[in-house]
Amino acid sequence: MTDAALLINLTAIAVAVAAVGLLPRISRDTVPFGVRVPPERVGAPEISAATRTFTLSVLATGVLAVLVGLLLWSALPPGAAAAAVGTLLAAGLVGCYARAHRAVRRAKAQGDWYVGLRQGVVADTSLRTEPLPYPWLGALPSLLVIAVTAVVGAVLYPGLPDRLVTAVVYRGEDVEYTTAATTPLTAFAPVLFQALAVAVLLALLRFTLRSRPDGDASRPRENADRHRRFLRIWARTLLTSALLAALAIGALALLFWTGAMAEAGPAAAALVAAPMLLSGLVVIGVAVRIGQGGWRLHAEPRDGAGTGLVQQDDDRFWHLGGVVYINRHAPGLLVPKRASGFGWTVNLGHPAAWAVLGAVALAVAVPIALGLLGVVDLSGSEFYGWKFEPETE
Amino acid sequence: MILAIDLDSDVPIYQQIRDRIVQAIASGELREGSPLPTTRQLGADLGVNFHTVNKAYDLLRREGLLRLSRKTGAVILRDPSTGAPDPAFFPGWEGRLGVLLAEAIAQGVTADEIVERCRHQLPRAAAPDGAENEEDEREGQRT
Repeated sequence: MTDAALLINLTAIAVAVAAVGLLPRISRDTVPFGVRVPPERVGAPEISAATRTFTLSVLATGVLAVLVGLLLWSALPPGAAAAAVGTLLAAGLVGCYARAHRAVRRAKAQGDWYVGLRQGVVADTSLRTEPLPYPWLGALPSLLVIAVTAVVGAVLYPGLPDRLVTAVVYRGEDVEYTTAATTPLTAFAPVLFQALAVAVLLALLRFTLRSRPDGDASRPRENADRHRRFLRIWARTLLTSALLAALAIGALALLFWTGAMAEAGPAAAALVAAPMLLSGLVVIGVAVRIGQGGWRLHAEPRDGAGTGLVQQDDDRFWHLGGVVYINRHAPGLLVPKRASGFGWTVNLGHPAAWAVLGAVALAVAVPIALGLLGVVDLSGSEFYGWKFEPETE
Repeated sequence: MILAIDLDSDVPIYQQIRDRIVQAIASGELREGSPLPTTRQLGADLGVNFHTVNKAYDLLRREGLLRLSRKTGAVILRDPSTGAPDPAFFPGWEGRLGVLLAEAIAQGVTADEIVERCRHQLPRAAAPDGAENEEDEREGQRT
């Protein structure tokens, strides 16, 4: 295995372990490991113990995956080794989470944690009557980068060679180039990707600014204040991420059009990878810092002794450890995630959910089907960028 | 406006929504012209069927406190500064007041105590929720 491939594999394991290991920090304190608990039980010894055990077992799983990987990478073909290590790691991490989830559920059931408590739900009507305005000004830099990239492409297009290097494959000491005939579609494909990436992030922002917040019936005013601050921070985060993604793809387009992709060597990949990686790290960093729905943000005390209510225990609608939500009677299509990190998840009990999932499945299945039928070439000739593959023997 | 619903209460959810909006109007949190979310928006945020919210809004409309229109949505129609209510308001309200008073009398509460408690409750009904919470805390500290 080449050093670059080994580094990539180890980094992938580290990222997976970190992502799962940080879940308790991102998830709300009142929903440890996907189990709703009353506020006064947040510091319960059973939850602390489950968190400690979870963290240690996740780290141990990561170490085990590295050790097994080092054995398998030398014994199996790269694809088979990666699949085996990936499967082992995924199964191990899921097992760690499932164990912690069961531990908290058991403690909650045995301790009757909701007995004697009045459950409620809460809404902040001002989120609907005075919603945060869409930050169009903040979206301008990304749109400007797309426009500049398109203009540069239009200026350079007449002077482009008959074939463009679209991808560089490093296979040990060997270097292979993938080329494509220069047409408006192939030449401007990076601009289309750029526009699509930014459009998806801006659409995600539009949706999240209007999405249903995660309520706290015990301290609703403080929760509402936190949610507004969360939305403003989240908007800035997504806009920053969109700008970095636009810059990364713009850099790729420049390398592509000027022929530097073929000449500059593997270090050129860093010019594109760095802002793209940063784009993802910004989102992850914010998620870890402020938590799901901004629950970690400070809020001025405005609820006095509290309302006397606790947020409704809706565990019965959450399945697979708090990852899947199914509630036929809930009106919302999307609900705040409970266990699987930061963001929102689809209510699979909502009639529109299956239409959305069906559309996504079709979007994936149709190109694959067309490829298998030979209508579309899926050989990877349209791949733009760099690949690092192990040396063939 | 924060709208909290007690799911363990005997009071139906639509009634709690209606009561909370009335309290918000009385305290000045909602004023004439203040908009309210659509029935679907509020239903989605509370996790209840939008027909439940619709029932609450319809109660308020019939009481003359809410205007519902396809163009402007749900808007508060009157508040304490709007002026005296329609004379038709009093028979229904006095009927409900009569039942409340009868409940207290049936439990042995004297007329003086009823008046004193009403006197104590009246400013709280007209106070924003924050002020009510602060007063509750001060009372708690005194006792």
